[in-house]
Amino acid sequence: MSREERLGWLLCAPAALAMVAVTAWPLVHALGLSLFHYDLRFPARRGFAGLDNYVSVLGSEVWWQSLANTLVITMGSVTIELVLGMALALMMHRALFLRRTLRAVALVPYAVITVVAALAWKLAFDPVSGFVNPWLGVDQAWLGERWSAFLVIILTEVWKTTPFMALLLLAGLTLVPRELLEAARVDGASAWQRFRHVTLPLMRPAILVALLFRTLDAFRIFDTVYVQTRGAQGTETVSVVGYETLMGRLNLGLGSAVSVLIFLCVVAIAWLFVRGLGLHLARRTEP
Amino acid sequence: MARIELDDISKHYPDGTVAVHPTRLTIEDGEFFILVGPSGCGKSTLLNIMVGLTAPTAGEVRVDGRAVTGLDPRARNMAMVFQNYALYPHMTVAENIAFPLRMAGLDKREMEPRVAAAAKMLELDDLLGRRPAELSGGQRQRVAMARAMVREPVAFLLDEPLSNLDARLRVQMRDELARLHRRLGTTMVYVTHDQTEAMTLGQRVAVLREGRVQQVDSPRTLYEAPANLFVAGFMGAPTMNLLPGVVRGGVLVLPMVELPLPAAAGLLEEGRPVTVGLRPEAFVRVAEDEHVARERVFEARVERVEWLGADGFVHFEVAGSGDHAHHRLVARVAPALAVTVGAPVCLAVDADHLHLFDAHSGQRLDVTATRSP
Repeated sequence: MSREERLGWLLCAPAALAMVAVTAWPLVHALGLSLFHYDLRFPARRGFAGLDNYVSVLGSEVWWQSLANTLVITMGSVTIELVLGMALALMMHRALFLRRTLRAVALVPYAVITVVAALAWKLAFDPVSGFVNPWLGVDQAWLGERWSAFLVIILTEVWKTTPFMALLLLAGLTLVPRELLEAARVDGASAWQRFRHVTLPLMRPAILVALLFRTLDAFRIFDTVYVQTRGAQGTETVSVVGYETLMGRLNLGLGSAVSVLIFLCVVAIAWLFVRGLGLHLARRTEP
Repeated sequence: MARIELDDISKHYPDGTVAVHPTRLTIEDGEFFILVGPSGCGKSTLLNIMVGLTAPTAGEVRVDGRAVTGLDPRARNMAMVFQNYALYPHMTVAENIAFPLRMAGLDKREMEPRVAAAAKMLELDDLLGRRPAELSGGQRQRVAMARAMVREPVAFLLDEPLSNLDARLRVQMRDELARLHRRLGTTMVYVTHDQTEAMTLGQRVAVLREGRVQQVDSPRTLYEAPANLFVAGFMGAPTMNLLPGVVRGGVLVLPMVELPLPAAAGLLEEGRPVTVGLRPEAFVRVAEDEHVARERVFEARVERVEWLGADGFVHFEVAGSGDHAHHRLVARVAPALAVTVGAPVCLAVDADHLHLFDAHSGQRLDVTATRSP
């Protein structure tokens, strides 16, 4: 190792140690816990369990149901966010005046704490005190039924994180050279054709990064669901299941197994984006 | 094929800058027309107005007599080649060339032979599967040209297409462009800031400055009879030498020499200050013992010598008066003659090659000497 390399490692060391302490260590610890029968209500029955906890989680209907719920919320919210975020990004990109104000205003929902946003939306959809029912002229207990509860949860997520999506897409949009769009115009492309054949392909890396970030984020959804339904009406997500198992039932072994499974799902999603969709996280250098 | 007319076209921006003052230009069908000028002179704006990327503030653009001012670029069927080529990086060379045809809704069977023909003409056959990032500058330039050609446009608009190439490649591509123009016979409008490109490629050249057309003429006329000091200084390399002069007692008095007034210059009133333009080739080197009209000969000290093989340029200073203590001048000399830096050299002025400009307006004075018969 050269002196320069050693210095490099030395300079990275504090950050690397912090990452090990707050990320790698809890992960390894959870992995360890997941291999034990460890229920705080019955501390005497603690003992090595092997893969028993995993068998038990993967064999339970609750896990698969919550996984399906999580995927519904993730796909629903991320899809809508992508479409709305793109529209918002295009508007911010083309705005001729009040550009900075527009960008700042668009970011407001993202600055609101998730719990607060979830509560606000819960109140808005409340059949007694909320304003949504009178506005729509309906009498609906939105959070009292499964699919409408999903709708409220997804709307809350969309409202809160579309600005984030829009900002990531805006960054990608500004990277599309104006000359290419002008060339496409001269080549006879209509506005839609320019978007479809030039802007979108060139934004692909930015879109994939935005999708990856938001998918990983949405998959771990916890606070919105916890505040709005507590998992009732069959809206439990995997994070809520993990929380309930750990904090509600105080079953550290089983809860850790759920956490490790969530982690594996997240890894799988990231792998899918990087390998399956060819997302290059490192900047490609031109030959 | 198209005749392009700009009728009192102007362009103002909301912040008050005027990119183009009212301009009238006619580009004839099949012509190789050049817009030349320093950066910010409005030449690219004019090109963008022709193709429809920029809307003029006032005036009308006509193609073959048909007004197209409000039309979208796609309705004008003009092709453009951009300075950075503007190739689509995510498409192969073949896809880049086919793009305009695809946008026009042609199917694969119709596109293929046309793409192949354009690729063949520009020697791109072997590169059709590559992406722009894998091409050299010259190859990218050719792809951009092929993409422009493929849909048989009524005119080609080229915006500094050679400025990103190295000097040798630029000369080669210049040659190819000229050949392509001869072969296709399509109207070409070419924007450049390089006077050499303008002189070598253009059939007619419009010289622009600060959004105003200074002169539209053939390269030869621009060189031999520049309309004003700006054109005189812009066209030709090294640039024209400019000196203050005054008419006194029937002769033209320059800082270093007095010249007989050309016959046609008799109209110039006594005492009138003028700016005199002398191309480097208007100086002739004379030996001490040569019999030349003595009053035209002067001696100068050589400051710098540029030897270019076929040509030699001698830089020297002459003493001035008033605000200008010195005037730096350049003379072209036969390279075979030895010239030493720091040594004196005898030069004569060929009075047949001088240009006279009004000292205040900078406009050419038409009494200027023409070539002697």
